[in-house]
Amino acid sequence: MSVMQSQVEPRLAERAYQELLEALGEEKVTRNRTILFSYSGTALPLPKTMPDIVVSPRSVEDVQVTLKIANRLVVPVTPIASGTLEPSVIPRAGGIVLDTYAMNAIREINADAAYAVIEPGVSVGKLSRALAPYNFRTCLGSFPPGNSALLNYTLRGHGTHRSSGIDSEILGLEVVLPDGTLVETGSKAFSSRFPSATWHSPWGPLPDLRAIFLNACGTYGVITGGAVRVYDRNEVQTAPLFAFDSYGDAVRFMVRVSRANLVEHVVTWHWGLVTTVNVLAAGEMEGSEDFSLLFTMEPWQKPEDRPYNVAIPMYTGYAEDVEVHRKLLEKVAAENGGRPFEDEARERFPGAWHYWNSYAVEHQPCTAFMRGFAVGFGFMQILYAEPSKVVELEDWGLKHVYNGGLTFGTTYYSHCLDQGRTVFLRITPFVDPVDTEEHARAVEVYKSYIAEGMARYGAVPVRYDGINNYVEWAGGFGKLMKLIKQAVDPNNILNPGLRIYEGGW
Amino acid sequence: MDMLMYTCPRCKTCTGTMHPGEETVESVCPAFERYRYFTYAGGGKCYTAQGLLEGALQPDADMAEVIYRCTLCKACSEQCAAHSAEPSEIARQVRRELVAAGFGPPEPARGLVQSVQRNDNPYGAPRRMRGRWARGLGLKDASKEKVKTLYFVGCTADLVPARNHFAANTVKLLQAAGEDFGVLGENEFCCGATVFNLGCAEVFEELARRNVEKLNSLEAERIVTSCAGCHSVLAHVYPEVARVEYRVISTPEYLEEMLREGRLKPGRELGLKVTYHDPCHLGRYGGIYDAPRRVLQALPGVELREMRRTREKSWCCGAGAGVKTSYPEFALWIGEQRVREALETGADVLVSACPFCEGNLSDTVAAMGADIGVMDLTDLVLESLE
Repeated sequence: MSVMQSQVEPRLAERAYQELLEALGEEKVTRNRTILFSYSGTALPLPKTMPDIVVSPRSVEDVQVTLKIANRLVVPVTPIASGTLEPSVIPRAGGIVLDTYAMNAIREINADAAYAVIEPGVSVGKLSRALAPYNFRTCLGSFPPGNSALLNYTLRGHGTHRSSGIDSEILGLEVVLPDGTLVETGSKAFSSRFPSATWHSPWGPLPDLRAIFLNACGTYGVITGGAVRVYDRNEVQTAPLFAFDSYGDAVRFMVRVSRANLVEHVVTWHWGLVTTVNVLAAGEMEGSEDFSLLFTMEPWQKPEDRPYNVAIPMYTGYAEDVEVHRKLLEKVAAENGGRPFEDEARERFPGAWHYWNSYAVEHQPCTAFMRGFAVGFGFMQILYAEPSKVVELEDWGLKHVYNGGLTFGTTYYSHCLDQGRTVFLRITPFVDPVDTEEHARAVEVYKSYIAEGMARYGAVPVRYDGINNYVEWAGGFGKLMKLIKQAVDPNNILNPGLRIYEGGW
Repeated sequence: MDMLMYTCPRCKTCTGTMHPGEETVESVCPAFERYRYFTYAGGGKCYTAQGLLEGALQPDADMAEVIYRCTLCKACSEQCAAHSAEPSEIARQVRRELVAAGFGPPEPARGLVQSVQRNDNPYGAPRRMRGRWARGLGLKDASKEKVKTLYFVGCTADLVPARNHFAANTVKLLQAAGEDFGVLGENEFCCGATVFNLGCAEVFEELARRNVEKLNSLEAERIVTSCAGCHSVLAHVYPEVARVEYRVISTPEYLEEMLREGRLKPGRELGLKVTYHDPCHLGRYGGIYDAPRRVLQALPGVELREMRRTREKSWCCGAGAGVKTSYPEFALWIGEQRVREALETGADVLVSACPFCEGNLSDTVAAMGADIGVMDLTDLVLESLE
């Protein structure tokens, strides 16, 4: 794996280091080369870049001090927390990596208004535990317990599991701008004038600028805290499973049950993912006949002994209500060619069932699929598309990715969002982590998948990746982004590797 | 091992216990908790190894500074969400690279290695000092006569006066149980745990082969160890170096067996609230969690109060893998977190089953001026015997 050198002039890096050291102390600032290397990339097989300095702030003031120094000296800053699989956190220009994971206070759990105010280092596991005495739970993405709750919610595609997948787990954010200005959004924006202001509403009389910082990977400011929605643990939490023999049937089922308000959220898994997670959870990858299906079968073919898709509708409520919902789900499934699969899944796919139970029923972070990470899981971009288009995208996309010359199998999962106005599809191959030629092939497959997915199916990628320049593709919207960036971060010090704005860095 | 280095998704689950259905505790990784950079976490060690493997990093003083602040407590391996990464073992291998390149072990720990090479113990004690604690006790010399059970005393219980009570207690308990046992005295060599964990592979392997040859030749049915580190290498590491023909059990396992068989009969009411600290090398390395607890529960008038972090989630005492010698303030910091947790339970006594743990926890209690006793399991069993 290649490791690029920082683009920051050594004398400038030295000056920044000395100033940061003086301002923050040696415990929070380092240029130990071994430490720098561990912040040079992610678990994905993408080229790394060595930063010059890593800073571990413990407070909002530490972040302000760091940004003021970096801004004055014009040194790049890449902010990160945990769960750093995303390409967006590679410090492509070098400079400072600002690791906010040590800022890990749960500042408030507001039982009255059902939100928690947390810092970026608060993990999903820590938040889940703190919420338990209040009979609250988090909104879970499919991330493991050590990940930063706040920063995963700011990534598009995560936090889609309530309100039929409307992507809005963040009520408000506390952000430091490059000049050190502290910004609070929504109802909290008025706290400097009205100290009684709290985080209860994301909206106010002014535009919803919260969105600038969501899915922005620290390009407009460094998130130092925020309020996230938390949810009651209702009397019954349920996720009955349904089997479908085509993705199209599964999508139609997901859209119908979402629009009929029968679910809080629904997701469907391709047979390859069911098989993979089942094997990973049991820890029996070696010699597993089931696992070998991923290498011997084309992913668009359906193995005889298992459904093509398993849909997981999630619902919580009073027992009587849940019972009625279950019957209605069975009815809608039958209308769309599906059948109940729960008993069969528990018996035949206990590992996958364990995962579904943790994630969709108990709403607890689960680690069952983690071994899939770092062998390519997540390497392919999430695309959103309209329901009928996403069905076509799945058919084309599986073949395109599978035929891209990558070693391992290809599979996917798919969330129904916003009552089926758009559907999330993440097709992903597994890439050999040590084969650099395969990495290059994977990047080419990635690029063509995104470009053709957008051109053919009106699909849209949902995260920055630093590989494609989405800002340039976005016309007037991209121009507006640049103008805002230029105003907020004229020196382009914040995550300049993502190339929102070509000035400064 | 190469592939294991690449299985880390950087989720940091290795730093805390946050698995579904289990009580979440925030941190189990002393080095990450203290220094806060990902590099100190289990996952970070995987990345360091990747850097070495790919040639992006070379062994140097920076790497030594990070890697040797790990106590190799194995909590990260236990917690790893990927369930396949073995950061502790990866860290040990990185240490070997550092040693080979002349950057390890840290200067203060080099004396330990030299002493093991010169004196067969890490404490700088001449060989003739071995077994002094046993003089006049009339113990059988296992190297001269066949015994059913060999008591492998270990360097710490043998040569550190403040820890001699481990050996004295164990002998009294073996005698009370009517055990046919012996010791090796001056013929006992260091088990090599210290040099193994410091990454001195060549020194360790030579020592391991010599010890295995010796232990195989004794024809003892089993070996009882006082020290968790000795137990760990005799039971789990030596078999990777040479074919072993002996069976090892730890003191807690031995005591549990004797109590179960009625060969030890505790009767005296102790009237103590105790909490048990799992030594990493018995617990996470050996899976020995229940035996010491069963022993404590068998003692009249002893109430066991568990700390928040126990068993697989136990917080390290802070002494292991050269940290006590190389970074004594850090060792005390780790110990302080543990002692505070013990105090939270309201226990009168913090009990462990490892002379190394007892040493650092005792030093910590003294430094803190904390109102809690530190004792070994054998102390309590002996006190309770009628």
